[in-house]
Amino acid sequence: VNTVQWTEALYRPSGGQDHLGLGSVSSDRILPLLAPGINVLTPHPRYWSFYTFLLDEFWSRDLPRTRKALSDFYLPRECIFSIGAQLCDRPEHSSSGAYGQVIGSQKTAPLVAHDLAEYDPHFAYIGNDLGGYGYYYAAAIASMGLISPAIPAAGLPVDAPTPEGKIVAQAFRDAISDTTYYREYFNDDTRLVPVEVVRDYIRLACLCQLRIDQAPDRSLLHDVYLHGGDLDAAEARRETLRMMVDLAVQTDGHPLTEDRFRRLVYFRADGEGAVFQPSPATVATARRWRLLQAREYFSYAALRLWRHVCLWGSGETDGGRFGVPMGVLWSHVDACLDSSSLADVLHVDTPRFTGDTRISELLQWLDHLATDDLDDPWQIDGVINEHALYRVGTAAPERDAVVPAMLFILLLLSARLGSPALAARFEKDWDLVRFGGVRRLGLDRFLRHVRRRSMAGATLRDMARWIMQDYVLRQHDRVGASKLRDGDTFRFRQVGDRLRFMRFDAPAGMNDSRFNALGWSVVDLGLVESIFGESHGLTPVGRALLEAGDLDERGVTGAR
Amino acid sequence: MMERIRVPDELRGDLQHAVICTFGANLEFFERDIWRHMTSVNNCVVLADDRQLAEAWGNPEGVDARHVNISYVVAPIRNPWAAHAKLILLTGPTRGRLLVGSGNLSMEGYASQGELFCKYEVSPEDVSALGAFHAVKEFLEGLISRGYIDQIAARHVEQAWADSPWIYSAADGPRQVRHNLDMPFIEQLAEEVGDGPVHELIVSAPFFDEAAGALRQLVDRLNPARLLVLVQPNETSVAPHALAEVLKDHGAAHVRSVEAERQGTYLHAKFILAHLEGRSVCLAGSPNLSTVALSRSDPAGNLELANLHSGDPSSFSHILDALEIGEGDVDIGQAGLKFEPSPPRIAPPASVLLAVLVGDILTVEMSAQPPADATPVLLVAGSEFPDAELLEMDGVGLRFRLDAAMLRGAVPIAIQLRAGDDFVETPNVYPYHEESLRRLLAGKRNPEILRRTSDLDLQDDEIEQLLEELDQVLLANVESVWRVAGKDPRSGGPEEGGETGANLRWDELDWENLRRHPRLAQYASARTSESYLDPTDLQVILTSIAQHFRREETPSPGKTHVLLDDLEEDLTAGTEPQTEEEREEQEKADERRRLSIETRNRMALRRFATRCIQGLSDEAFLDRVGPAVAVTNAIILNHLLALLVRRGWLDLESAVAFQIDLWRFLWGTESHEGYLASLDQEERDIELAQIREHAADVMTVAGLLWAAIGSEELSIESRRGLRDTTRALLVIPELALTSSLLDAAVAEIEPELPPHVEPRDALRALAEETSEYERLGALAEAAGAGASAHLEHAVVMRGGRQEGVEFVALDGTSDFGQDVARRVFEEWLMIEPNRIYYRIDHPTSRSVAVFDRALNECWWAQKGGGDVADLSAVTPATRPWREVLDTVLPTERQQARSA
Repeated sequence: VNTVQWTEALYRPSGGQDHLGLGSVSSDRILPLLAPGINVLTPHPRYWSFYTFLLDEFWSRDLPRTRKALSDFYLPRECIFSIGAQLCDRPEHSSSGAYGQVIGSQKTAPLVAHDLAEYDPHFAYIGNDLGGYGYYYAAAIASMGLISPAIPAAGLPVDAPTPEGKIVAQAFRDAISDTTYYREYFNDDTRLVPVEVVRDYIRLACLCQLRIDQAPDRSLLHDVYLHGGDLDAAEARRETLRMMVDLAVQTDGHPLTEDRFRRLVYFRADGEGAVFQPSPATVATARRWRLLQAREYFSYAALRLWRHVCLWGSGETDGGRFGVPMGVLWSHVDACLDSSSLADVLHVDTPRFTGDTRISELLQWLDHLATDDLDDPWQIDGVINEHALYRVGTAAPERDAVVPAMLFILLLLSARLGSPALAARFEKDWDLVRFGGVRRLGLDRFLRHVRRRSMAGATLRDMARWIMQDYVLRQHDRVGASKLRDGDTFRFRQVGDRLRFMRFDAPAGMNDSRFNALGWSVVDLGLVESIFGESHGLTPVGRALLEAGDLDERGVTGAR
Repeated sequence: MMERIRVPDELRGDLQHAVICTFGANLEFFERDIWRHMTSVNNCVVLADDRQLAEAWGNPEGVDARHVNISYVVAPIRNPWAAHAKLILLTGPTRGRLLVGSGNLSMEGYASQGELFCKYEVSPEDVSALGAFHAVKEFLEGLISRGYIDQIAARHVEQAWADSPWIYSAADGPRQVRHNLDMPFIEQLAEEVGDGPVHELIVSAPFFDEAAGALRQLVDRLNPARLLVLVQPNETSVAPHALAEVLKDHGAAHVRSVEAERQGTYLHAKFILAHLEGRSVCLAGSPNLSTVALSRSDPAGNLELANLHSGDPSSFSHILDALEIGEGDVDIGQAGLKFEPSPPRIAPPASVLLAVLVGDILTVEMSAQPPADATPVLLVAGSEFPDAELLEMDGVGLRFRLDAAMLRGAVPIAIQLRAGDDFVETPNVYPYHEESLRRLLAGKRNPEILRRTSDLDLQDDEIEQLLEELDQVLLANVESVWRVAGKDPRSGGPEEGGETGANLRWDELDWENLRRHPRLAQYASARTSESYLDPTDLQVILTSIAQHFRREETPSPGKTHVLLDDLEEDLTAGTEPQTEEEREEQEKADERRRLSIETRNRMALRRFATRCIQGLSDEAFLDRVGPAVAVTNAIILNHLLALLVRRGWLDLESAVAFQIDLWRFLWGTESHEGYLASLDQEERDIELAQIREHAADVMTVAGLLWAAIGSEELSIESRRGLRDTTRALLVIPELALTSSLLDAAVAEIEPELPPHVEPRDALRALAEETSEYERLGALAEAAGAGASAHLEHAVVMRGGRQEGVEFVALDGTSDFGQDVARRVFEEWLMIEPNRIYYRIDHPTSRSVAVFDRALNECWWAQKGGGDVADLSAVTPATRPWREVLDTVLPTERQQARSA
């Protein structure tokens, strides 16, 4: 019987992340060029030694070369390492602040809090069959040449240490070979390990112990970090580590945080007394980090406008019970374009504007902040700046001032970076500005479009519509549609002439700046004594890197 | 409660043509989530309102859809008012499916709870719904005859009818689907209701006209005793005062709020339900409660399509049962109701009516002749297209010559008319890629994909698609021939040649006709380059394979090229996880997606390869189709297998099994004559020329090298099979393995080789590999008929010292003289050239022979003080394959020796 039927809803609502698809431009495109191998979740160099050592031990045993066998071997040993890292009582473990990002610590820290006398190596500390190695470190370690990933078709059924990796593995073995754990428990993972045995082991094995001069693997890891893997990647990593050392020296006396790091690399000052004037040797690298941060402000502005639309829409529609005509959104956006609301929250001199103000006028007003050099310091004190505007976005409760604040971030970026002459002059670095293209909203494309619109006499209202339509609504639609197979991650959808909202969280933030990962890397590698606290004492080896740009450590790569 | 319809699921099935009518079209949604359901459809046409399309394509870069007007047709409907009809029509040679309703081509339209659709099906067993299809045919033909859709779209719609002969049958029964090309819906509804009194009229729609005129007309016309208007608070577009006027004038009218089950669902469905004495009538489909939809016909109103059904009084109660209807009357002024006027329909000053790309010529038809002083400039994705040459400007027609390679994938174009500093720009359109579209009509689903056979530059989810296309193109086995012959290989039952195809009866085939069939004839035409016609699919594949080996340095990409690259960025890649939880979550999602795609690909690959191998093993099939078909299929399969396994799309074990079968067929083995060798000289030369042109010899050796590298992973059986095949291939004259062929094969796989892997060494190791059992068997065979051999250990005097050694003991033969010992040593030295100590004991004759490389001695003796003879000048035996191996892959020792 042919009968009229109602349709069924087919997509499961889902949380999702990166709702404008912008995050991966920084994390997948730009950062691998600036700090290859040092990811958000790979901050501790000693894992390079530990994991390579575990693989080497696996391969030294007569075990089936299967992932299952590797997993069976691997997990109990990383479990004890993770538990141990919670028990470490070495001074280095706390001298640079709380030791974060120990693999499995979410499970092992509460376990250790129970003060057990013995620990079971088979405690389920992580959800992956190859633990932190499989989740985070394998690709990074492989990229620096210490391991070869499994290539079954080429006769390598599971990951294995390379000849270079074996050198590092042996150094780690040397560090711990006299421990009771290694001698009596390492080979037999069926036995419970007494807490003192774990503690004794971790006093030598811990991530923090790479820092001590006697660590046999430290100079090897210097070599790996500075020269390992692809030559261009090694050079980029070397230059970034050098810049971090430079930054640490110059900001001695100021505890650094991610937020400060962003300001220091972008403005070259944090507005609170710390200043970073890169040396001639690090200025080129610092310039690229500045461009990354520009991209971050740009992405944040778009994402924060998206969040504003979500919050506004949810409020307007009683949590998404009905749709809102697009005209109502545009009226709201227009109403937000009020200079007094921005002046109220910024407390610095801001231009007077309304929706009818031409963006060319605003760009002219902001022009005094722009320079024709990407290496100059940019003023942060007492003037409208990207970071102050960013903070408008991070403040609660939600305000309408967020809309002009984010538009001003975009205008400031245009004023600073929008000149074609600047792009031509720094062509070598402009790849970072181009990344994103159409689908992931390239910054360069945005700058060109602003220029075009400014010349065509567009007003702030026009710009707000354009940004909202192309960078927020359309981009969210694009990303939501691309993820539909995994569920409905839309926070709103334009249906006909209406916007329909979904009741879900709508987070907006910048990507991880890599400050923590880089900070831990330079600390663990023994280049600086600390970077997170006030005192940033440079070690002799750190000073050598800063001055010479490299270290004469070739214990691994020289053995090829 | 009646089950809800899952629209995407209704798109599955063995139906080859699809026509979708919609007001707005979300093509990103279509490509990502709808098209994949339509696995059998090769000719798909999306017809949408012209202004809606122009708006959707308004962004300079267009939409994120890669296949528009390449793998399916998207055409605007250019009627004076809105083209608002919504339908999904699927047809095949014997059956059809039709959905008529309220949902547009979008996530809300097809996958929310807010739409109504009615499904109709026609099959050989049931043609009762044929009238609905007739109505739709009439509607679509009306669009064509009134010039509302262009000729390319019309051609594709007409093809659907041409391939659906059942549509031409006469239909009985009421016409349950109606359009308004000739008569307004209100008239048709009134006619259906008839003269009887209407007890109750229930109406629901998201849009009313500003004066609620359509509702007033409806009420006036049907004169219901009771009127119930359902409105969705804060959603329904209706002027409260106008609605109130209609209600007041009626006297017994009520307005109730209505919501869907799932909160937040927008009720976009439109229906009018009339309860009469003993029956009900329902109109549900695209028309809203507006004058242009309900009260007018084309061209004075919209184009609309609806289901008009009659039934018993409870026939339509399920429509209301699925809704949450408020119990009391709504206060119209307080329900958030507001009339939302439609944006005015303003025609752009200039527009492109038709853009067709054939080869490197883009032909554009403008809506009006450009001004004499205007220079037309071609924009692609918002940027001026580099080096587009305006060849001709004739009235409304423009012709450009351009580098069509840069227009790969779907990108929008526009024409900018420049006059001094002023310019006018047309809205974007997507040009029709005529060659691809023609291939669609020939049964291809994604014609572009065939070009990528050569390098498999595909995304994971395109592999299955490629194999489906290849399946359509290649005459792979006997089943394909049956299909070409228009017969269903399964129809005869297993004993007559069921699904396996093993027992198909050749006598039934008309070979004279079959040889003229395009699918068979293409094998001949694929080998000529003289044709001025479009290349056949087979030519496309073979040319791309040949080009794979003749790649020149690609020119530096232009600006547009960079932009197009940007457009291709995959948005599914998410941001880097920042915590362990995020990482775990991402891992699980990736794994789910990967497994699902991998499983489908693996199954499709196995099916495809099995069919091809089956064909190549079928002598009757080969006799009939001849060497052109057989060798071409082998070239393509060989190329694909080699690449698939290297790219990780096929596991090595399966690939090696298929490759061994394929190579056995093509090249032969020690005991089996290969197909090439079986051909007469002239045919063999022709086919060998094809093989060389498409580098099937290089790909064979490349496949062999890759398999050798990974052979440790293979099962013992596969590894032995591969080794034997390797030995055979080394000496096959047709393959003619030389150092340069080997170098070419290494170069082919080099980019994908892992570090520190030497494929030549792997090949030698594989070829020389022998098991202990095989070694002993070979030694026994050298010793003579009936001999057997086994290993033993003993302590012997060697160089004046006692030493434990392993030796071979021979049994089963009475003779072990010096000649026999020499023969066995020669064999042993060949099999194990690097051994230091060789000893053979023959307990029966109490003889022993020793070759001690370290002491440089070789002797035969009888134990117990018997004869001792020096066996000087024992040299290793050889085999033809070893000789080739030593020539193309000399060992260091051999190199040193020859130096």
